[in-house]
Amino acid sequence: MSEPSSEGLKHLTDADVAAYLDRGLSAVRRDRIEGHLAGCAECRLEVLEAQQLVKRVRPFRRAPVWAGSMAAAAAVALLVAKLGSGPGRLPEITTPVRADGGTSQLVVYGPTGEGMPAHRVSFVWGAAAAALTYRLTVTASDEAPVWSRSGPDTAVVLPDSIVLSPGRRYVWVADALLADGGTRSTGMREFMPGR
Amino acid sequence: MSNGREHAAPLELHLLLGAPEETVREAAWEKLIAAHTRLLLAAARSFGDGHDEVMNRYSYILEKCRESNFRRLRTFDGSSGASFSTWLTVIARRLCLDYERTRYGRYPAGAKASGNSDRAVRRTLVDSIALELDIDRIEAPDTDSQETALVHAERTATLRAVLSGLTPREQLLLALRFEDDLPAVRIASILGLPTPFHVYRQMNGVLAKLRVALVSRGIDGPGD
Repeated sequence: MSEPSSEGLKHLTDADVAAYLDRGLSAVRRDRIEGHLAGCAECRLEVLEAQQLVKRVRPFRRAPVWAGSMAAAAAVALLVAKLGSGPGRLPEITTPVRADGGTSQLVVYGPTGEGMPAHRVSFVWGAAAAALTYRLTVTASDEAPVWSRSGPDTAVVLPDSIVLSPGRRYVWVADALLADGGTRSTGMREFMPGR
Repeated sequence: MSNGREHAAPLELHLLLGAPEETVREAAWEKLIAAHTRLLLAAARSFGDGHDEVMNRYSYILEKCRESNFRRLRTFDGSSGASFSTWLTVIARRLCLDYERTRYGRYPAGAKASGNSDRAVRRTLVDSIALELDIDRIEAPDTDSQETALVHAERTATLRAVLSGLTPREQLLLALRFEDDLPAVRIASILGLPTPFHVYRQMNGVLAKLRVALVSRGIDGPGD
């Protein structure tokens, strides 16, 4: 892409685009780049298309461990209470993790990663204090909607009518609406049912 | 220049760029490519399938990366805020675009992507925002009086001035939504917001801010 970079702001460089997609910029430089993007449709298109490609090639990332063994034990207890103890009903559980982002977010219990069954997938996240309701949204990786549901539960199982495609990537996110009007979120979580 | 988060270059890149001998350099190059083949092939495939064409693009990427003693790879700067894999993905995509341009003199149909077809008719931000804020319902200038045209022009100029007072992020949010017509889920992904709800909430905040600014300048709705 044309030089110079964000300093001259003719167009963004490839390094600018990559750093923007990785959220690795200082606030000042991000402002410059977003200011340029706001007025440059060509560079916006570059960023949009590069992001699609980056998402396609990026391997699944295991999020950092947030909680210790006590939290993991609490998560299992929560799951048993919510879903019952039948062996076929327990979801794939990964280590609980914090969603990315600086603000207070919902803890994620799963699914993340690959290999879970393609039907009756269980989505489990941590409760937020003073949450009025939660909304779970499941989409395919191409952003096609798959299923969504609102309610008070922090553990939800896909209904039998929704069967996911093995080997296809999906994204889920749970949002909490709080009594004070605020929100909490798990952030977008990618998973891929096994073949 | 240190601009934010720092990323370490992969070991293979260090070995490649620092290798004193040809044999060591070749071994490091092979390891680097082996570690990133999936990424490079995905970039090559993103411009259309067809085994031969994909492999031609892939070869072109490798050739250009090797060129002038790995000049392109030497430009990776871990302090720029980008990880090596993201940076290489963007570079590989750029090289594929160059390949298509060199070979065909233009981008082949569909190669330059989804975004173009989705946004074949690009709307101007000012016009879209005027519609959204419901301040521009006066009749079109070419069918009405000179006075109406003047009012229309004044409103457009005012709106443009108000828009320029927004933060870069707010302006980008509006451009993605109203100019590019992207869905909230995509906007969230670009801006790094956790969910589409955050997009809606920020959008409402920005539109409210615009309304207040317009009212303060004497524009408060259709027919004003």
